[in-house]
Amino acid sequence: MLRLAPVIALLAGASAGAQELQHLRTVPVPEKFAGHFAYDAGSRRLWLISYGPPANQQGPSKLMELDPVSGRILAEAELPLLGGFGSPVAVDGYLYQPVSYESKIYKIALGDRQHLGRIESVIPIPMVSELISGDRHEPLKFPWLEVNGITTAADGNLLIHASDLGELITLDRSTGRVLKRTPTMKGLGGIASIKTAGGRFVVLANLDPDDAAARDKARRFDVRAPEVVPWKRSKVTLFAHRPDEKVVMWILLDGASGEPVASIEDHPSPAFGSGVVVSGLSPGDGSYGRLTFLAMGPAGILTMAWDPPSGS
Amino acid sequence: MRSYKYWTIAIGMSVLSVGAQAQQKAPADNPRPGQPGHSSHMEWQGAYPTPESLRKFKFKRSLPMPEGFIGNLAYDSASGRLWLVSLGPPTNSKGPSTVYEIDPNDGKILAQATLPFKGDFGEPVFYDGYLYQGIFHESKIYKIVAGDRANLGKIEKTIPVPTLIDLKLGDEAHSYPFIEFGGLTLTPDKNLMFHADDVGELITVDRETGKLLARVRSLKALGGISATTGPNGEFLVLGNSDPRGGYCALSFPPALSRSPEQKDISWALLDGKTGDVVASIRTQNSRAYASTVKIIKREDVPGSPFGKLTFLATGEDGIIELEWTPVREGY
Repeated sequence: MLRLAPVIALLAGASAGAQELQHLRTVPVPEKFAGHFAYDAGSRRLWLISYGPPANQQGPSKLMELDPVSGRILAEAELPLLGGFGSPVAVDGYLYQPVSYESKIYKIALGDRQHLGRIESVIPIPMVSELISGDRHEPLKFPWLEVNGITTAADGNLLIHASDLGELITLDRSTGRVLKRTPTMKGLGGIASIKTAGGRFVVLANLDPDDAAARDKARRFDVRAPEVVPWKRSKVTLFAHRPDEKVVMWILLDGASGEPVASIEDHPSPAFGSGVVVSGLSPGDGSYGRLTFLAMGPAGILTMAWDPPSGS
Repeated sequence: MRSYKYWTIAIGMSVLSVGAQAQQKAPADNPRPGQPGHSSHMEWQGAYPTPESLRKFKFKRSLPMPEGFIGNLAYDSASGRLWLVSLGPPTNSKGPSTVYEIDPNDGKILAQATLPFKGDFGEPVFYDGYLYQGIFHESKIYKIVAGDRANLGKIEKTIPVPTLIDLKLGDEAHSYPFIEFGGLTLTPDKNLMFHADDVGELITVDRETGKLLARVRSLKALGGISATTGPNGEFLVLGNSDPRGGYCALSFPPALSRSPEQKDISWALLDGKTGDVVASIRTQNSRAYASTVKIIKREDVPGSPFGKLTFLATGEDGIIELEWTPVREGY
């Protein structure tokens, strides 16, 4: 966690006056489920997408629509995806599912339950070497961008978080062309964007410091790390979803500058530092409003709320 | 000889407890976790050195490598020709992946060609005019012209290799479908054997089709591997390992296995059929990285069970030539 020390110090300071997180309810997910969820706040529809083998020992990757109250499976379809991947985003009847090691985002049909799971198109994600070059950057082991979080950009395109570069990158929703790059924090888990009542574009993100440190070291081959951090590269993507007690920080980022504007630490966290979807925004004490959001934890899909303080 | 074959270190990484272990002797039928007869990998650090064993491990000479080179080497013991293959961006920040033919006497570059490879990958092996270069994250081995200097670097074909899904690992979950391998060598029948870091296996595939032919459990976290034939026709595999890697259950990413701070490197002589360690030594203040290795020759030595191995590795000094007369592993 040495690398994250300055960030943690910043966040600790930022969280001093923050209102506590609220855990409102939990929707169960199928037993032994390993994967992510997506939610469309407009239609109030909820989906799960499971990892493919060898990350998922239960069988092939599946897309499931769940009853958002009971967690009952309403429909399901098999997907050809393999391995572990980051959380997806549901937009306009499609699921956009990044698969980092393939440098692809799969556009998967959601809206029509009969065609659930049909892959409509594949959108390329730029490789690391397309974004950085020369010997000014740190060597990275893999050529692909590690994308753990994806959400909608202010203009309706796709906004991904390149975890290893620490950038929010706006991609054209059809072509994958890079439209904008914004430096921000490294090692984030999930991200979810929203426009506040004042019209400010902000991004709610989470950060599991242990997971972030593990991924950082796996990507950079650093051996000078605390021993509590796992090293096994082949497990690292799955580490965020460990059942152990963990710290998760919730951070509100300015969508334009990438800077953290508010944060709060949750310990022990019932949620993973992983996929997040904002399901509602209501007036709060601060200028951003009270965010209601969904996150995944060992118990299922959690509904949480946070009223980030202004000026923190 | 005082020997510490296995060191077990409690590292308190509950999620990765299996991964943080190296290997016990494994039956040839290769049971995986959850299967009858399975035994977990255990921490392995190699036999602790004694003055006697250190005298049997010698540095011979070094050759310079191209400026800023990070990558692996290949050697043809029949012709004495030597090649280097550099890693691709973003692992290599100096430029594109490049294959070099190097003069084995002075390290001068005789020829070079750019390759399209990206990121990190393991060592190549030379056979019959070609380099076989695994790119593990593509689940492919590239067959590259090397013998014909005029066509150096021309990719002749790609050979698919099995994935972790093909290994049917049972209860083990892995993030990526590809098998990560660093070490690559030839089997006695001239097929390809690679070391699968994450599962601790030596895996043999058909040289031209990539079909899975054999698997054997062995150490985890080896760097390079290089095969030879023993005095009685045994299939022997030389490998190296960074004890810190074993401790961390890491296999060997480039900057870790190639850092100047790295001091202790363990060398293992493995039975290529069973994966068992038959001899080992932990070298202190090692001049070699726990990375690519190529055996130049093996010579019989009276009274020695395996003879004397002369081999190439890489280190801060460049390409280095080492010599080891292994002593059979004992307790």
